[in-house]
This record gives sequence, structure tokens and C-alpha cells, in this order.
Amino acid sequence: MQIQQKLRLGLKNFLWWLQEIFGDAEYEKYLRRASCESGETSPQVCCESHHRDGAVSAEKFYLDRIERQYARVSRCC
Amino acid sequence: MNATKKLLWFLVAVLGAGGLALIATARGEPINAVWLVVSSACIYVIGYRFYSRFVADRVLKLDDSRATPAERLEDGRDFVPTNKWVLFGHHFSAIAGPGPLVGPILAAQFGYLPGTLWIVIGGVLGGAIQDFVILFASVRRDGKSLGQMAKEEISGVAGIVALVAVLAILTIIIAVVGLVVVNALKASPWGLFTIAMTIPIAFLMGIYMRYLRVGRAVEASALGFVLVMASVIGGRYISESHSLAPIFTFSAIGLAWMLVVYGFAAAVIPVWLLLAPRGALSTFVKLGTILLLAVGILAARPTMLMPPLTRFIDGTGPIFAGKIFPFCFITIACGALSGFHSLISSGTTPKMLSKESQARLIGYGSMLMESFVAVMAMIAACVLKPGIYFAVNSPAGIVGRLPEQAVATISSWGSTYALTTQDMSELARNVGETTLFNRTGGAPSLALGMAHIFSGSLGGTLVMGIWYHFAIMFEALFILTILDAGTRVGRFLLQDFLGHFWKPLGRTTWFPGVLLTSGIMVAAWGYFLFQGVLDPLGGINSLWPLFGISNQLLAAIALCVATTVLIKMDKGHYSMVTMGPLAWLVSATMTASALKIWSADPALGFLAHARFLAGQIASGTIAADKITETQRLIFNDRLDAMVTLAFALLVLVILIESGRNWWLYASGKKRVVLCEAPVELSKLLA
Repeated sequence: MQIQQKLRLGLKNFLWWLQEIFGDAEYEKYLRRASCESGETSPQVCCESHHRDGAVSAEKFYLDRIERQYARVSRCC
Repeated sequence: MNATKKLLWFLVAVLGAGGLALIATARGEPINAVWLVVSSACIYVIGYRFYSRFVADRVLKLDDSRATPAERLEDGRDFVPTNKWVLFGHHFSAIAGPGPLVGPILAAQFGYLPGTLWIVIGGVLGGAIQDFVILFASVRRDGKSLGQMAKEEISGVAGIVALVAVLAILTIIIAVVGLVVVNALKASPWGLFTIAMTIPIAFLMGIYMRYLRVGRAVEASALGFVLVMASVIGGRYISESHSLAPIFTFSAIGLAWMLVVYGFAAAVIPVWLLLAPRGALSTFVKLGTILLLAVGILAARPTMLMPPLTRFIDGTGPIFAGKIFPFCFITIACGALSGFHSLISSGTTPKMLSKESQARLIGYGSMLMESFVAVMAMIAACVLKPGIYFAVNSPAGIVGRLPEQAVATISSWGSTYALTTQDMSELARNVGETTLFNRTGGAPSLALGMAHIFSGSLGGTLVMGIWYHFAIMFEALFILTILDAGTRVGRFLLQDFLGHFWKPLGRTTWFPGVLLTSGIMVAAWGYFLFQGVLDPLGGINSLWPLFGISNQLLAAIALCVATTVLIKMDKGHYSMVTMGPLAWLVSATMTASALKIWSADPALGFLAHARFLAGQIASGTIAADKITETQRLIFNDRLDAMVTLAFALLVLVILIESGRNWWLYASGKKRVVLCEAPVELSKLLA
């Protein structure tokens, strides 16, 4: 593979890694699970969450996620 | 392992040992910082490859065929199987705080050798093991917290001790890091402007992430970073402006009040508006800066100007009193062995682990990375001229209030510490500060060291001010993240506890309860913060050991839980893996506690200092208008002694409870009940 292609791939992977750490892709993952289409999750689990939460909006999902994150010790000294 | 690999590992071992031997035996000629980087890196890779593998395979017997709670209890919210590198990033971001930066800076008082040895050896044999075993234990227990595990594996009393320890350490750590920020920003219009700007920048980021591009933290952080850098550069103009500089110039007391108001507001206003964006921004800046520092050290290859051992190994140090044992091991916690990490290892990480074998990379590996950050901080402190290091970090009460007095005192310690007022004036001018004297707490000297390293690689002395204030911004940014998030978590813990006595207080949505518990939490750490600010000895001498002791109390709980788990797993013959670090930790913590309470040296012992001050009042040495202030100092000394005693007693309680259980299991008088979750086979590929 050309060096340029390797660099581009490396940068893409790095950006993906950053987005995963920061939780940018959490809502998309949630939608995939809730729709039970991707097969990533067992049908029982994803359907239960779908029935429990309904079609949660991106804003509500985000607010809920950060509320939970900051309700517990999530940062060390 | 084939012959080639054996040869390679042998060479790594030789390089590591050789580097360490050079560091330990070099006298006279200063050595290059790259030796510390190379030898510590070699030791870390050997520790990871051999010791953690031994613990994983023989002691814990990690089993990838077992489903982790992330798989068994997957709910798309808390329990989510996560890619190991993503989880490594999450976990490392969570454990990397100001501790591994500030602790080594302070411990450089002894020279670079004791602290570096403790960071590397303590990290490989103690801290990384603690994080690894607790993570494993929590994974096997469906992600239970340290407190829950302490309650189930040891006793109900241990669970209560864990809760008290968490609240105590939160209070003390917030006060201590607050003091570090106050001392870094006092009389510094450039620094204060930069940090003040991070608040409206966080608001902007919060609005961006909530309304414009929902949840896009990387984009918001990149935007925030650009704005923060603009404020770092703009800060120079503020500091040089006759009209604007006074607006951003505050005394230590004024800054302390600002922090109190900030902490209270951050605990009560919506998370999306301040905490979340600040958290994202600080993670973004932290990861980038750590990488930049590593690259900077390798590019600049600075010389270690601090000697391997200074005269202050005799316990007469100006930054904090006490000899290497036990105080080096209390001062450096997070970079070597930190109880706080066990809260992270039993927090969200175990709920996201896809395979048990990944606990080795995430638990053990992240801690080694943090330990490496501590080595870099030690380098940053020790590339400064020793005289400059001590001028910045020594309190006015020890070296003298005026620059001339401080310079004369420090230069009198020996030629190694020679210093002139011109050196300090020129340095202050280069970094855009009015003075660098009496900036205790470690942050300014870390910033100076980082500025020295960065400007050595890029830009030279012309941009040293930018690099210095960038480093101050970096430290203050994630110190304030601990302050605001810690206050909020403390509020939740308090509400949870007080809710048992009056239900409305337990409701996190009931605003009067939110206000009251936030107020209590802020008042608790605010008291210690003001204590440190008003302490003529700079505050670090009393507060940092309190933090170190409380942190190691939590580590004692974690290692007791870890040892109990190993014994219950019928791995008692391997229990030295956790008992060894526990024994060392307890000896250091208890010795430090005893010295801080009962040492006859007023510079060291709280009660001796209180008696000394009381004697001064009785003999009429204290001026009449200073008597009330002195009486407050006496009260603070006695309070600190009581708090230290309380921590030491809690460590004893945990040890007694744990020891009792261990003896009962060993003698067969108590049935072993392993509280692990039921075994289910994993369907996930490794």
C-alpha cells in the first residue's frame, strides 16, 4: 500500500478511535441495537430496550448518557 | 518462546538495567533525560510481558470462554462490549489526572532518583497490579463497585469504610488541586484570563453538543481547543495592558473564593452546559499534551540538572517536611500506586470489557502508561536548575518573603542551588509573569519544565511564555474538571447517604436537596482549601500528605479486597502478588500518619506545630493583631491531626477485618463463598 494511503488509513482509524472514546457514535449504535436489524445484539436485548425506551431522540439519548456519566466517579485525581 | 525472542527480551532487560544503573550511580555529571525514558520504558515492557502475563495466566487464570457482564447483561447503556483499544483510551483518560504530574514535581525535592525508582517499581509491582486485579474482580462480579465488593468479600464494616474513604478522598483531593490552581494563577493576569475564558468556551461547546451537532464531542472539543489556544495567545496582551491586567489580577484568597463559587455552580447547573463540555475539552487537551510532552522530551533530549539525591533526603525539605521514607511514597501516589484508580477499575470499565484477557491491557497496561506520564513529569521538574525549582516551589514562610531573601536562603544551601534575583526576573519576564517566587503546588514548575522542553524543540525563548501558559492551561483545565465533577459526585454520594435519614434529600431532582448537599460538599473542601491558602508554609506541607494518606487508605481497601478474592479463589499461595504491595503501602502510610500526628518536629508534626504556635502566643512573641489568625492555625493543625488519625484508624479497621477473614479461611473455620456471577459461555469472538 502507498505511504499516502497508509497515512490516510491511519488518520481515519485514529479519528474513529477518538470518536469512540468521546462517545460520538453512541447514538448511532443505540439506533442499530434498538432497530434489531444489525444482529449485533441478541434480539431479546435490543427489542427490550426498544420497547422500554421507544424511539429516543438524539438529544434525550445524549443528555441521559452524560447525566449517568457524571453521576459517578469517572475521573481520577 | 523461540531463541530470537528470548535474545530480544534479554537485550531489553540489559538496556533497562543498564539505564537504571546509570541513573542510580551517576554523580557529578548531569545525565540526559532520555536515559530515564529508555530505562523506564524497558522496565514497563518487561513488567507487562512477563509479570502481568504471569498474573493473568497463573494467578487470575483469565478465561475468554466466560462471558463478561458486558456480554451477559448487555443493555446498550451501561453494559456494552467495547473494542479493547477504545476501552483502553476510555480507562486511561479516566485515570490520568493531575496526580501523576503534581506528585513527582513535589517529590523532586529529594532529587530525581527516589521518586523515579518508586514510580517505576511501584507502578509495575503495585499500582498496575491493584488496577488489574480489581478490574478482574469487578468483571467476575457483574461490574460491582469497590464498596460493594468490600462489603461482600470482607464485611459490612469494610463497605462502610470504603464509602467514608471515597467521600474523604474526594474532599481532600478537591481542596488540594484547588490549592495547586490558586497558587498557579495568583497575581497572574495571563493565566487567569486563559482559564476564565474556558468557562464561556465550555458554554459554547455545550450548546454545540446539545443543539447544533448533538453528541459530537470531538468536533466541539476541536473547536474549543482552537478557542482556548486563542485565549492563551490573547492572554499575553491582557497581561501587558495597563487597563485590563488589573481586572484579571487576584490574590490567592480572591481566587479561592472564585473556586468555591465555581464548584458550587458546576454542581448544580445542568451537566450539558458546563461539566460535559469541560470534561470533553480536558480529555482532548490532556491526550494531546501527554503525547506532545513525550515527543518533546525525545526531540529536545534535555539534561537533568537536578542531582539524583539532594540534601533534603534528611527530612529538612522546604516543600514538605519528612524523609524519603515514608514521604516519597505518600507524595507520589497516582504515578505508582493510587487507591482512587480502584474506583475507576470498578466503575464503568468492567461493564464494557468484552473479554477477560483484555483486563491485562486495560487494567495493567493503562496504569503503566500513567506511570510513564509520572516519569515525564519528574523529567520536567528536573530539567530546571535546582535553584529555580526550589525558588518556585518553596513557601515564603520558609525561604523568605522578599526575592532577595529567598535567593540568599536558597543559594546558602550549596553551589548546586546557586541562584540570583536576575535569573528569576528574567525567567518571569520570559514566561509573562510578574514573579515566579512562592508559586507552591507544583503546577508552575511543571509548566516551566514543559515550556523549557517545548521551546527547546520549537520556537525557542521567544515563545516560552506561550508554552508556559499553555502548560498552565492544560493543568488547570483538568484540575478544574476534577473540582467540578468531583463536587457533583460528592453531592450524589451525600444525597444517597442522607436519603436514608430523610427521603427527599436522596432525590437528585429535588432542588433544595441539591443546593443543600452541594453546599455541604463545597463547604467541606472549601474549608481545607482556605486552610492551605492561609497557611504561611504554603499549604502543600499539610494538605498533600493528607491527600496521600487518604488515597493510600483507599488503596489499602482495594488491595485487601484483591487479596481476599485471591484467597477465596484458592490462590492464596499467590497472594504475595497483592499482599506485598499492601504490606509496603501500610508501612509507609502508617509511618507517615504517625509522623504527621506525633513528630516532635514542628515542621513535620501537626500537634508539635500547634504546640509551637501556642507557645509563641503564651510568650507574647505573636503580635496582638495576629493572635486570632494564629489560633486559627492551631485549630487547623489539630483538625488535620484528627483527620490523619481517623484515616489511620480506618486503615487498621480494614486490615483487622481482612486479616480476620484470611485467618478464618486459612484455618478452615469459615466457609469460602466466592461471590462471582454465574458462568456463561461467551459467544463473542476474541
